[in-house]
Amino acid sequence: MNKKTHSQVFDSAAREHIPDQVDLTTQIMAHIQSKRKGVSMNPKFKRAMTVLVVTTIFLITFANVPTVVHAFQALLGYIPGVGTVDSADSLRVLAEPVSQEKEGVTVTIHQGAVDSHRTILTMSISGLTATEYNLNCLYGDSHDPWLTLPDGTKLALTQFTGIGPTRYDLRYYFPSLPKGVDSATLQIPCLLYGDAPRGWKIPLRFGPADGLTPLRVIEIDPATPGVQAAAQSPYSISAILEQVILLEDGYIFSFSLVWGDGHGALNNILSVTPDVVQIADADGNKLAAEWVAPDNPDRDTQIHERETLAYKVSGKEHAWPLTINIVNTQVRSINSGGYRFFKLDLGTNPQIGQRWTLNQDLTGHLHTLHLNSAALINDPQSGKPGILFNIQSDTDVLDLWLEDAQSDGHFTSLLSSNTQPGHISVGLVFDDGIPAGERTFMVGGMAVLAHGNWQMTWQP
Amino acid sequence: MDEDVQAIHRLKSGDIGGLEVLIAHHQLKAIRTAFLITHDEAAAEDVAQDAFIRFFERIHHFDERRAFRPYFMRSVVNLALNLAQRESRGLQFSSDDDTSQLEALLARAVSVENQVEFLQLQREMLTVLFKLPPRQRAVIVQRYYLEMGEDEMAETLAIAPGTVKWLLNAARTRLRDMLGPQRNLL
Repeated sequence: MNKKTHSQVFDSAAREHIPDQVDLTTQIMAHIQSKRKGVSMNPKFKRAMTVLVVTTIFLITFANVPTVVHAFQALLGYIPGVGTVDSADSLRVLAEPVSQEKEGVTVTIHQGAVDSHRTILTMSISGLTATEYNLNCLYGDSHDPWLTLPDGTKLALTQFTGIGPTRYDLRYYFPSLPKGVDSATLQIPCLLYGDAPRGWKIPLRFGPADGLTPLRVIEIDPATPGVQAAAQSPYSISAILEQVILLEDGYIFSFSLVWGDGHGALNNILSVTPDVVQIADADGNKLAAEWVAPDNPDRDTQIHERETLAYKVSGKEHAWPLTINIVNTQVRSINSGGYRFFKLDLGTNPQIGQRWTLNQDLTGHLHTLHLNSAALINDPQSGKPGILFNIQSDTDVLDLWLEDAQSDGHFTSLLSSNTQPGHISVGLVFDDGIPAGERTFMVGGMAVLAHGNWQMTWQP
Repeated sequence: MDEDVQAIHRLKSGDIGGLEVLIAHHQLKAIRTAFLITHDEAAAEDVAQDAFIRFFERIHHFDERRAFRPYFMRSVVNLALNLAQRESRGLQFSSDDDTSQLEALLARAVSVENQVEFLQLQREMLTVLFKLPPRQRAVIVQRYYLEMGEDEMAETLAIAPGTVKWLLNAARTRLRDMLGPQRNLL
């Protein structure tokens, strides 16, 4: 029998998508050479270019926005609903909204814009009641939508984001339509949810953005005082205000929580999700702030460890400066608490239903967990034995999971259930029958509420 | 491997041809690794390209005594995982993401001789793989495709070896079901 290795099997599977002929050499070398040319620029010429660039930025900034003294104006504009666009180039927009109906389900493309580097479409689906993803669609072959140009060229989807208020409201991003090409067909093989109709082909037509002036987007200089909130110990999460969009009736503030080393290296944090965000004026009055879908899929690809948010504040007249305060965030991390192992002696012949009183503290860097008790149970779903631990904690501990240090991976860790603040039940199910004897466990990871009060201020 | 050492030596000496050698040797594995984690062909190429450029930019910090391939593949895995995690925000993954299904398919695929069946198994494997959350995908890819040891995987993912085991076995949790009839035990 011609037995293959696991690696060969995966290699063969991946080959269907990444053929042997793929060669990145040319593009990598071109990228490096272009950077090298920049480095080897004649010093005199370089100085002249620097002066020119600085002068240009100065003129753009202060000629157009005289009141903004610590922000620089990038060539970005904002179209409500669509998001940021490159306003320096000839902008095209969807000529009219387009809808298509199939079997009671309607897909509507509401807005669209084509700038120098991407095509943006906003869409919604109505008549679809399924809430579960159709996994065959989500993970099957050729599930992503694409644009077909009149000459047959396909532009693949580069990204999509949810834009609320429902999961059926999406924003698609494609590469820019070539200049002179003002029509395309949006093809959606399937709709991701439930058993929705497939094979959507929606003709789109774009035209000049006559009469449409994108709103101004101010890219905030990170050196501006007040726009960065320093890293908060122990998670080293910092916050930074990155963009302010000047709406006719208010402002949109786009900011990020950033962690890690900024170079893509993983640390123990899996995710950071702001829990409470407040925006207040200079008098301390809290302003109504509305979440809006952030729009920066292309921003700063060097820094992956970030969570970007955007909030809208209505009204142009405020007691300045405004302060954006991220009061706390949920931090989900692996092995970051520094918890030690703990032991439980199950005895030689433990029985389902048997309980043990633990009554011991488990001390970590940040939170103390008190192990109350453990019980041997039957997991009703798998029929396998498990141990359910009852743990008391402070109310900032939201969730945790345990590992069995001895079972060589033959266990399933169960999500904890925070039945009430400060009380956590968490379990392990064992594949190899009822465990016996002394077992060693550890806290593998946890989700906690981190109180940072990350504050950023801004005024026009 | 000697060719890698020579290529790195050339690179450190300022000969960019060394990078071409490394690209030629490692790009396919790098792109396929990234694809298996990101499930996106174009993104996989970007990841591999990014990894090579980063390596080039930091060549002077690279210790020539280290083996290039594991070092480089760790970088690819990290970049791909970061991208996949970012792209998958808001997506829900199957609640039945036990890796055992994947491992069973893999076990069949290694010994099946019928080419059609093999192709079918491969596709099923990828379908199951892409149902897993990105981090778990990365663990599977490192374990079975890159054939890394658990310690090395743990180092790549900055987690404890025990957690690697956990990730490899992490069937989605079912505590709510479990708690139902047993809640009064505690």
